[in-house]
Amino acid sequence: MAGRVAGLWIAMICGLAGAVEPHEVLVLGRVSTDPQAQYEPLKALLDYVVERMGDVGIREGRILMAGDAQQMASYLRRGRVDWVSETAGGAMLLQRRADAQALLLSERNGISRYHTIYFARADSGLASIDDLRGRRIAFQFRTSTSAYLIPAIELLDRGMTLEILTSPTDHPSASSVGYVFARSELNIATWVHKRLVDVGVLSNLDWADSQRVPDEFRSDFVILRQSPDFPRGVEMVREDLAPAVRDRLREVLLGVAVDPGAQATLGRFDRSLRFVALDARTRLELDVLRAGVERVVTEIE
Amino acid sequence: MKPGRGLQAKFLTTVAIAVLVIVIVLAGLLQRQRAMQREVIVLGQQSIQALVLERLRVQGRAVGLLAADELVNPLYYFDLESIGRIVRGVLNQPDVEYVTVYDPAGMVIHDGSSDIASYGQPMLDPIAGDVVNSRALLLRTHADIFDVSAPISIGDQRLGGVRIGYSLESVRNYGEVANKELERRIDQIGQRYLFGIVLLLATLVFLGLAISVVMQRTLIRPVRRLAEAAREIEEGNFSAALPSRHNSDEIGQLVHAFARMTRGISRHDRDMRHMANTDALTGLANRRAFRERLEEAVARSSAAPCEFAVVFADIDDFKRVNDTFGHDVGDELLCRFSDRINDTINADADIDALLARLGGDEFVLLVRRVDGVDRDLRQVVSVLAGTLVHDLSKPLTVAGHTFVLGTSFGIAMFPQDAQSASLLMKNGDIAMYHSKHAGKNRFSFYMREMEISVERRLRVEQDLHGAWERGELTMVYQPIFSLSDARLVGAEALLRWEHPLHGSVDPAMFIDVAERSSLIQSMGKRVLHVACAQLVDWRQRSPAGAELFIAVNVSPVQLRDGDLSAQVESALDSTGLDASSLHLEITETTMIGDGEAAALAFARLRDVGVRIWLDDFGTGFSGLSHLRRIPVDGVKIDRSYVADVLDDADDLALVTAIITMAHALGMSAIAEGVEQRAQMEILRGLNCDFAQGFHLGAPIDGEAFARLLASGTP
Repeated sequence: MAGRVAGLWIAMICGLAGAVEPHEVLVLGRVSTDPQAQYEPLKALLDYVVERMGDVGIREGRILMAGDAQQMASYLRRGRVDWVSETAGGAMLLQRRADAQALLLSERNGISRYHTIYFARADSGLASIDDLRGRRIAFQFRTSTSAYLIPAIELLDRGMTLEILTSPTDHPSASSVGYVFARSELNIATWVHKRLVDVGVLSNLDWADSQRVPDEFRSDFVILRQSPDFPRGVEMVREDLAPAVRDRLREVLLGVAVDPGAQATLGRFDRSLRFVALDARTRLELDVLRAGVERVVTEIE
Repeated sequence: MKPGRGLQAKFLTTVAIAVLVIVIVLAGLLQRQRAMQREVIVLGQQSIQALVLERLRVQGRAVGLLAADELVNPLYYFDLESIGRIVRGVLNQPDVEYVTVYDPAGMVIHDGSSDIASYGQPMLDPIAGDVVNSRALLLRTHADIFDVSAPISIGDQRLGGVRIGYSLESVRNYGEVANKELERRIDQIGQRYLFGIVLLLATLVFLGLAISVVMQRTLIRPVRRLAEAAREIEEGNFSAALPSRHNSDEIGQLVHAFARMTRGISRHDRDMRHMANTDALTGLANRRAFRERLEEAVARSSAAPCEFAVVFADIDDFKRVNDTFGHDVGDELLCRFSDRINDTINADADIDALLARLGGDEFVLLVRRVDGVDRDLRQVVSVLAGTLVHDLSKPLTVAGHTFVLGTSFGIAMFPQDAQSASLLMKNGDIAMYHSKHAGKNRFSFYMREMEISVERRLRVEQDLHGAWERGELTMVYQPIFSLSDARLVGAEALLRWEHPLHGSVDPAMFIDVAERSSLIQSMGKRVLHVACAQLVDWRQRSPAGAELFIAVNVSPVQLRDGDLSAQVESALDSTGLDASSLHLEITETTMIGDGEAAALAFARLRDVGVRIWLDDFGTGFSGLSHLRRIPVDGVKIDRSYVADVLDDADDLALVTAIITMAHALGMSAIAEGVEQRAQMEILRGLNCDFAQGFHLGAPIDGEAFARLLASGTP
């Protein structure tokens, strides 16, 4: 009920412009370190959605960003956020922490799934990720699905021990795999190239991106492994969102794919955005992922 | 005036010199300015470089510290992407040649390139060691690079450092670019100055030319016109165009003054011309004007042949009128004369005549036929001259006196007698003198023979010079007898000239020539001396000569021009002759002509004792009043009376009267030209005192006279 109180409080502030009841507002959340860059595309999507949800009592949309998954989980638990767009890994973290429910898969540029690529310098002598013991691997950051959660899960699944290093120059014990967070995809590629670490992980999408993996680096790399595909983006709603609203939201978002007007409205920011219903395979993948995330959180962190 | 050295040329020269001086001064200033600009540029370059370098130090220090600070966290996390971003951010700054992030060992961590090619390699430059070891910001310069290095630490943990290399060449380029800009600006300013100076000079030249044009229009042209006008006026054209100026500036005033002066000169010129061409007394044309007209007529004849006559007129014996009645009467008479001539020529409708007075009593006429008259000009002029002779000899009454004056005319025909004006004048004069010699009161056409006679007179004059010395002139003496007792009482000294070619020359002729050429002075003096000496000689040779006197003729010229009394005294002194033995014979004309002067001279001579006789008495004008005025000792009855004394009762009466009158006045009477005994007897009967003549004795030389004296009988 604290969410209700807060919502009421916000509504009271906003009430100055008009009497809007808390249940009439749809709040879209996003984990982001750069709210300025993400606000406009989100607002366009939100406006499109809110416009079509009057029949379920939604009269206004708001955006609320959180600095990290923990904060967002907190918002969700308190009912401050109704709807969150997240990567698959992030979504599983939110589900785990705030019982958020997966609503739809999001798809960009026709891609709704991707996988992790393990790479090393061709002259590193590594041929497989099975040789990683006593070596160092660069992850991106803790909420990264493709560059942390997936490889961490896979390495754990292979029975390896992951040992955090203080810096790329640090060395793990011979039985463990030392890991460091490189923060950015480019750092991962650079560290591998400059032999700071032995292996780097990136999504297949980032691997193909010259901004993230410079071409001159890539030609020196060799791919050690490609993980199975997993969902890329997932739309989550809070667990206690009114079913009518939840259903109507799913309906509207699914309609984006077939609504030419939606493409015109959203196209400004994300021309290729569309939403796909969760099928059985996806649900299974998400379940596997949730279990992996659970393991990573408990075993590594 | 040469136009090249006129005011305008001087002004333009001055302007040119001024412009030249200004150009030189400005060129000097420009040169100095250029030198200053060069110094400014060098100083500017130095100060700009120093400034830029200083700025670089400040900037490098700031950027180095900032970059080092920013790089702490990324370096701590080995966040090569962030490091790269920061490094590239610094690299993108101007003049940054390199940015290197290195680890505590001096190995390169990042150089800003996407592949970080130098990663993990040591820095090899000479100052790398200093850089790595430095624990503080280090500013170093090496190999055209200004190197800023800053260590990067977290707490006391050294993470590495960052080096930023600034290109000094860029800095220098800045200096050079700034200098070039400065030079360009200075050049622009210089060009603006130059343009200004050129504009100034052009303005100056333009101004000079404009002033020159204005001067030309307002000063030089009017002055030149004035000069031209002055030249024309000098040549006599008083209507010369003056520059038209209506304004009242100095030139305008000058023009007006010039115009006034021109009018004044023109008026004076007219007056002077009138005076120069007009005879003041009669208002007739004068010699000059006549001469001009004559020359014009001669000149015109070359274009259109024509005939005309020059008629000279000279009033006979007019001088005596002036001497006797004064110049007022003479002048009045001349006016009346000119009126008469005019009347006469105006009466003849066939002629067109110009009358002029040449001076004194001389007049001249230029006579032409009126167009359309085809009478012979010679005949026309002949008739005219005859009429003039007749009309002019009619009595004229002026101031209560009645005058009957003759006039002698000389006529020269053009083109027959002479083809030039001067020759016409000369020939007219010759013809006029011919008339005089031919008896006066008549006219003569010029003939070549007249000129020959003139030439002969000239030759005579030449020959007369030195005739004494050559012994051609001799003295002869005609005895004079007392009629009462037939005694030889004296001798009249007469001059004879025996010309080596022409033989005996008429005394009247050569005396006349001598009088006209002033030879008479020396001749007269000599005659006086010789005559006195001769008498002394006779007296010494014969006692009969003791009572003898000598009579010498004195020319009026001697009396007028020479000091006669001094000559006489000199002759008497040098010969020792007593004065009473010397008789001077003068003509009546001499007495009349020289009036008071003659009277004085004769009075002085008489005081000395010299006797004065009046020669040719009765032929002249003289009245008895002259005898009263001038004291004479006797009169000589003219030979013309004596010649007719036998036949003409009138002449007898006159001779009787003269003798009676002379005796009544206490004078002696002497008859000359006694050629017959009967004449002598009559004269003796009339109590005439003395007589001379061929009957009594022809003139004989001194020796013969001495013998005659010795014989004692005629």
